[in-house]
Amino acid sequence: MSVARILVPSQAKRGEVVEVRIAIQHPMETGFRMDNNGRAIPKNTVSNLVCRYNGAEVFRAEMGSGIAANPYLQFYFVAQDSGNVEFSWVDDAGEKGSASSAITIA
Amino acid sequence: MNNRNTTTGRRRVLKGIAGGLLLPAAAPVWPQLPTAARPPLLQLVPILKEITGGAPVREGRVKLEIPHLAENGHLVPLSVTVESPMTAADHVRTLYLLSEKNPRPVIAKIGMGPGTGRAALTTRIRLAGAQHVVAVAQMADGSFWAAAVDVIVTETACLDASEIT
Repeated sequence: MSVARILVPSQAKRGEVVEVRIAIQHPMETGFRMDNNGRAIPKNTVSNLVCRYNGAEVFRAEMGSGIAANPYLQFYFVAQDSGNVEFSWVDDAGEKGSASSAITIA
Repeated sequence: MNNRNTTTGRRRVLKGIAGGLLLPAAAPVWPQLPTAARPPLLQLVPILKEITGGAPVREGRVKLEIPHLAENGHLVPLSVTVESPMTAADHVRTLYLLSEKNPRPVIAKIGMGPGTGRAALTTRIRLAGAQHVVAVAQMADGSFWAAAVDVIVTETACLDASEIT
């Protein structure tokens, strides 16, 4: 199960550029490591992460083995209307995760 | 007589020092390489060509912040900022983070748009050995801008050393 911690401000002004942070608990397996029996551990990274704000995509990240374990991203979006900021991601094993937070425009 | 000789000797020495101090101002000790001849972008050419489709990549507009000396290659903090108003007409469309020596050169491909507001990203990357890290931004008009930073990594991230040379 993918667990993530997100940080989205609960309030913002209209048109304000808001900073968001997300940290997903994930090993980001490179595919170059061996297990104790000498077999290669298959690559498994959070390959796709999308951030939507009131349904519209504002940020997308395709990550490979070059992103450190427990991927952390800090980025921005423009706050326009009160609503939801949704994060959804999927890893190479097909496991999906999501997180969302409400934002109110003052 | 003896005394006079030493004073003139000292004057000559002082003159020499003064001349030596003035020299660096006239001719830089470390000549700067022209930006076009710098190796990092060139060494990543195969993957760059795939990304740009042969379009020229200019240096500038992209600011890449990464420690010059990373103690642990498993976790290297990285910040990228692109100079862009992020409007519907002029914004960063895609941002690539590329590595020179990692087994997979594309660290991340970031999609942005006018809704992103600010073309900036902070994340943590893995680096397999000392190398150049390159950030390439594709703008809405299709132009490419890049920045490269040289990073020394004391502990490499790649556990299987046979994968990299």
